Amino acid sequence: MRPDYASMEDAELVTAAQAGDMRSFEELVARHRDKIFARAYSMSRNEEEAIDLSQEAWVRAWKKLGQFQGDSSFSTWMTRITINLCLDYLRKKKRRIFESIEKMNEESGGVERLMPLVDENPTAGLEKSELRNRIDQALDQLSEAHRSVIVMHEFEEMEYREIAKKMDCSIGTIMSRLFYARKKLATLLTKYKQEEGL
Amino acid sequence: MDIREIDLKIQSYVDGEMPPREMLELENELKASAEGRETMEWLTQIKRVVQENEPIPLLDTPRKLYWEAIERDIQGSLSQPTPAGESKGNVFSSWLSWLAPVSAACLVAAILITVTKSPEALQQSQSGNSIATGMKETDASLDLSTTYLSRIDEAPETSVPSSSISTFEFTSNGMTVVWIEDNE
Repeated sequence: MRPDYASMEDAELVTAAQAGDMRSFEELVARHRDKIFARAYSMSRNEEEAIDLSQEAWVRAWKKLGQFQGDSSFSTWMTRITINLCLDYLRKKKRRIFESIEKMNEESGGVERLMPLVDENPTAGLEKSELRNRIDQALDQLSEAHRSVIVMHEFEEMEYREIAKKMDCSIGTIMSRLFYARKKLATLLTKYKQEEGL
Repeated sequence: MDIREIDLKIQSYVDGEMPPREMLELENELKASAEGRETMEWLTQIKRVVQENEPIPLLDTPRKLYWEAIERDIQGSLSQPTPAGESKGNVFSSWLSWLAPVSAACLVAAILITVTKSPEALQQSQSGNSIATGMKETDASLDLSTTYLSRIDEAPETSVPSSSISTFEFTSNGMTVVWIEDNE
């Protein structure tokens, strides 16, 4: 009799998948694919790349499934694999692209130098969906390095030390990138608010 | 924009990454700094707003289609137990790379044994009666050239039937094969 995969817990599905049950793994993919895609998208900011990266992350997860010990939730483990994959991808991509502007931004603080001070509450009076759109728009304006730090710190709640390890740089660099990224986000949200006369 | 040390301190305070001992120091410092309190205010705001409003893009790809691509890649990786570069052609090449020199070494050993036992063969080779054997070219990629052994310096100890000796130089891999054929 075919197991009722939909009623099984993640942990049960993982155990079955570790034993080679591909249908269990398919159920895990169905449950978590939206989150994994969202994370890949938040890092790459490109829908097609995000689909490819998220699918590659699932393939990598299948191969590494034997290493999953259940220390964290399957979702967290899977998200870490996706982030690692995205960081690798962005590093390779960065080598191919001349990023002097990004470097300049990182060193000098970039556009926020030219902008007015941030509003103390740049998001007051906005609906949640509108706020999300604006944050999405602002994230698009960040450099890959700044965005990656925001994604890992704010969305994945990773500590400075863990982010530094993943990005292969010092904790000081992560702190400075995070500060710039936040400043830029706040400035952009203030700007959007001013443009719309709110 | 330059980041001041105090900005990073305030940030680590907001993120809960500051050691408790330093937290008290910073709180005292901020009492006297309006600018510092302002930084604390907007950092706290932006952190909360971003964390609570993460944009969630929708994945439009149908579930079945999305899964099939993953399954195909998994199956593909499972059906490739042989690492890349181990094709049949390469297996032949690796076989040739060790078997050919071994064969050559055997032939050289054989010729030394034969020649040291054959004064007649020595005489025949010295008088130019040796005949290159008709080794057929089976691999067009090999560049074969035939030369005759013209001289063997050491006199043989015993008499053996006459034989012809040929060498084949494989210029493509710098290998020489010596071929001996019994003419009787």
